[in-house]
Amino acid sequence: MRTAVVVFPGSNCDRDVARAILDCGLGPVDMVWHDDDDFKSHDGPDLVVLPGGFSYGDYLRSGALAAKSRIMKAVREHADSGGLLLGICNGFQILTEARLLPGTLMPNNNLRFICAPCHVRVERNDTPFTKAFKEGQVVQFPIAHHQGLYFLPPDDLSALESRGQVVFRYAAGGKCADCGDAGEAYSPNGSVNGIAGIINKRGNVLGLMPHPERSTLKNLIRGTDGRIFWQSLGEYFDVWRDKG
Amino acid sequence: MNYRDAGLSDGEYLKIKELLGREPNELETALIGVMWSEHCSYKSTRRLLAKFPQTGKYLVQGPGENAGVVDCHGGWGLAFKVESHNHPSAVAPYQGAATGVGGIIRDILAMGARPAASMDGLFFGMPGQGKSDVLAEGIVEGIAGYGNAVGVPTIGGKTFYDPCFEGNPLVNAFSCGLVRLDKIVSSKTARAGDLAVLLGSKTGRDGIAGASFASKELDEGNRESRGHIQIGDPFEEKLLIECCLDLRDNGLILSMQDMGAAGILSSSSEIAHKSGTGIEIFRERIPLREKMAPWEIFLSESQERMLLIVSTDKYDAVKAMAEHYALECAIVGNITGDGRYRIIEDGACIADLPVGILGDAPAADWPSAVPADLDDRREFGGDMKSADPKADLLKLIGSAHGSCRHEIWVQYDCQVQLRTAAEPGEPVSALRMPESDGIIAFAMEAEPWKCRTDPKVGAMETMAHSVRLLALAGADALGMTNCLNFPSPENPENYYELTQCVEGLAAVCRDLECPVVSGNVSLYNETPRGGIYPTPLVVTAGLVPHYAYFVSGGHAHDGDDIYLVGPSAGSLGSSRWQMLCNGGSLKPRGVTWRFDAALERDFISKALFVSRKADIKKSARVVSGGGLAVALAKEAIYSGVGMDIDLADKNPLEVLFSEGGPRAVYIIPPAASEKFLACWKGYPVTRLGRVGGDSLVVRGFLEIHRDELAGAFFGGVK
Amino acid sequence: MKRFSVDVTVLPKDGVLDIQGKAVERTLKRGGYSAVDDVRVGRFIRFVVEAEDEASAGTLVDSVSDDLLSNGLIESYSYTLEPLP
Repeated sequence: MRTAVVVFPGSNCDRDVARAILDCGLGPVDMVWHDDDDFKSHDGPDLVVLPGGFSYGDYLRSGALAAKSRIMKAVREHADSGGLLLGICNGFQILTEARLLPGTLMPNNNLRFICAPCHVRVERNDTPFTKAFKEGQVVQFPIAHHQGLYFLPPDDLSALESRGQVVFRYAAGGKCADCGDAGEAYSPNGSVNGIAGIINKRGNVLGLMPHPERSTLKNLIRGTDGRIFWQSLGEYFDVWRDKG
Repeated sequence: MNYRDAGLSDGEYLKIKELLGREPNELETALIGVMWSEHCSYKSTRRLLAKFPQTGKYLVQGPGENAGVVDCHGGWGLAFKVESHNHPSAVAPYQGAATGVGGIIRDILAMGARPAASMDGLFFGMPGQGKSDVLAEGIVEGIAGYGNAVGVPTIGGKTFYDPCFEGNPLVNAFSCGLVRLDKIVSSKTARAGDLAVLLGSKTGRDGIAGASFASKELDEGNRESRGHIQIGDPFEEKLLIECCLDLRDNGLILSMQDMGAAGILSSSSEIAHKSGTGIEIFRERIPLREKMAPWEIFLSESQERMLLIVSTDKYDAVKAMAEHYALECAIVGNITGDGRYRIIEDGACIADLPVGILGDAPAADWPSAVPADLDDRREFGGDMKSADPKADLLKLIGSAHGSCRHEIWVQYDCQVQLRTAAEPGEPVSALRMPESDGIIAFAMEAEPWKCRTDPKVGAMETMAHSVRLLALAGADALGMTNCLNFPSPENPENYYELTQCVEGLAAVCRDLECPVVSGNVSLYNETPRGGIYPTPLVVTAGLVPHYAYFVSGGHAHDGDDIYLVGPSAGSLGSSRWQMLCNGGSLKPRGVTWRFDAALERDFISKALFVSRKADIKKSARVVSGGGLAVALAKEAIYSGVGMDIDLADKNPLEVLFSEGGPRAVYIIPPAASEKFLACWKGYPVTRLGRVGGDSLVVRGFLEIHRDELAGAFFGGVK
Repeated sequence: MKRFSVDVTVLPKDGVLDIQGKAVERTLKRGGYSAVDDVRVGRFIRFVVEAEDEASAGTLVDSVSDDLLSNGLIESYSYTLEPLP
């Protein structure tokens, strides 16, 4: 499994996501500069990651300027040819601005940055990104964003839901983590329908606001549930060898 | 501009004429005026600061560089420093705090270190009073807005509320970074013939004369000061960080200096002074955002700029790197061999000073006088009775002075870079070391009330407290950085308090073998309504060799034994209980715990010893603000347990609410109790009771359900 | 070629929740400005374009506004053109 992590000016989770992938034994990882024309590797990457951070300082709108970067042509071609594309946090914002995913991310409804542990329910485990989860499993992925309120007009929203494009939904945590309740009531940011992550129709482009890479490395705060996320990709490419 | 407008005294101006052998021109007067300001020269405190111990077994770089560095093993150095941004934050809270964060990060970067974490010491007026809430909100948002975007986690800090900070909030920004010991960058390594290169933002009129502004008292109607405020751009800073580290890794820079107070002037003159060279700067080569006078250009505090010293053959590579990161980059001058600081404009020399005159401001000595009411402050005054201990404890954990700061730190990205090993809000902040199992722990402490009632004793307790927190967590202290926040030194009573605090800190640092590696002084913290309490803030860094040895609280289980190690009581003087409950006058009274070096060292060595026994499961907490009662309450809240405590015949008020001294709570499974007690043999240990039930019960004194405790603690800052 | 000064205003679309507008409105009302209503917070962008005439300048500004300055899903834009001497 070969991963390309795109580094935009202002990205700040690029190294973190690379470390998480390497820690799970899923290397190699290439860091690709936003101004490059193409990915470094010969046969192209298996997975392209648009990492979290504040690309272009979040100026204008989060993700809007990065969506116009030179590398995005190659990113789009990768996705069009069926390659896996993952946007985390600011990466998700970039994917919506690039119209690779529907909807948009608006400022959190409390108008503040929120950095917190956060529970999400896995709505689908038939995607390359989620195949190692149990369906309906509630896991803890941290969030850290200022603009994470997922919004889509009502009609488009029901279409998105009926096509099963919602992959992660904010869920009850704490003592209620086992009851599996999820939805808007648990949105830390006001996301409609409690949407935390969505996939495109074809099933190869995933965007999510929570950071699986922030619950991957051991002996840090906020757990290791994110390993299951990387395990999914590892199993999909048949390179998962980590036995705990 | 005459010399008085430049902030120089008559005596200082005479001295300049004597040193130069002529009258300085207007530009030279402005340059010297700023470099001799309190903010740039530390003229009032330089002699005092010399009292700090500056040697230690882990010390790599002491005061004098952009930040101190300690050896944290494995070939890695930890660069760290704390710096105030009080005055700018009082005037423009968001930008003041944001640029405080950006400035301290560049100090760390200038050492060649990758900035790894930030913390902030915040001191506000009481919630709901005057402009306190607006200031507090803006300051927190500024820290979040800058720190989150620049990709440096904010992993902890301290927030303190007292009426004395109303209108004069304190923002003490701390940052630390990691650097390979053989990659440390110094400001002493410029050589004649090298190029002075400006990297980063263009220069504009931001923060003109901010340096001298920080050395003056704040006027109530401070609208006019607003022209002095700098605007921060974390996006530019993130690029600057990556670019400078790339330049360092590729061996393209000889020296580097961030531009803080007095911008180009101080950074360029410091490099020349410390390297023993001269420097000439060509005014028209400095990239400008707007038309500016020469003195404005040299004093501008435009943010996100670095001064690089580059050998001529490397400049093309530096330029290419800057272009890669879309950063402005220009050769603005040359390092010379003649010890002169020259500014050239259109071929003419418009300032020509010996570098030394800029770097060595004459020290200012102020008269010192014992405060007339100091003896009165030292008297406890109250009746030392609690009418309602339950209500007192709820007040101690539920008021602004003790409640959970969650609504502040939830706004800070505490996780980026994936090193954070302790949740914000824990007594110590912690980072995982690169390439090893070690943890670097930080304790930020300040005790304005205790320093008010006895500056020396209070400062000693402040410093000792920070080392205790580290020792309990399993960390061996490596070094300390400090920020001395005081009112005007020109008032003899204030100056006395300043000297006493410095002596107190210095004495404890010596006794506990913890060198001072860096620091900052912020004076003139006053409004027309009065000065702040003496507020020395310390951040002590320590190393835990393995994460398995890291000790924290909140892990108590039903049936565990609860122990107090240390003397049964500290002091009620200037404690939270005295402030809030003993009449609730909100005036600190009574002297706090008097430092006892032997007892303190004994505590440290035993706490470290027990931390290494990973087989002894423990939940532990130093007795801090609010005393033993608050330590027990937090253990109950975070562990979700009740406790049954029996103090036998001891005075419950003193045992529960007194503060200070090397005291800690340990909660241990009964099976491990014997081993635990063996580790603490020879040190006072009292078994207080056991974990169980749903309430915190102190027999015959108070009983509070843990949900009620949690409700008070998590109820917000009010 | 002529030069035009362009002022583009981007506002949240009607019906899209404008939390910033709501927050500003709440604060104003709390501060005694009870007459203030319907606050919307958007963006204002000013730049200069070169074009043959006003019509082609307008086409260019539409394109720039659609492409980058606004997000059509939640925002609408309007602009004014001012010929420069």
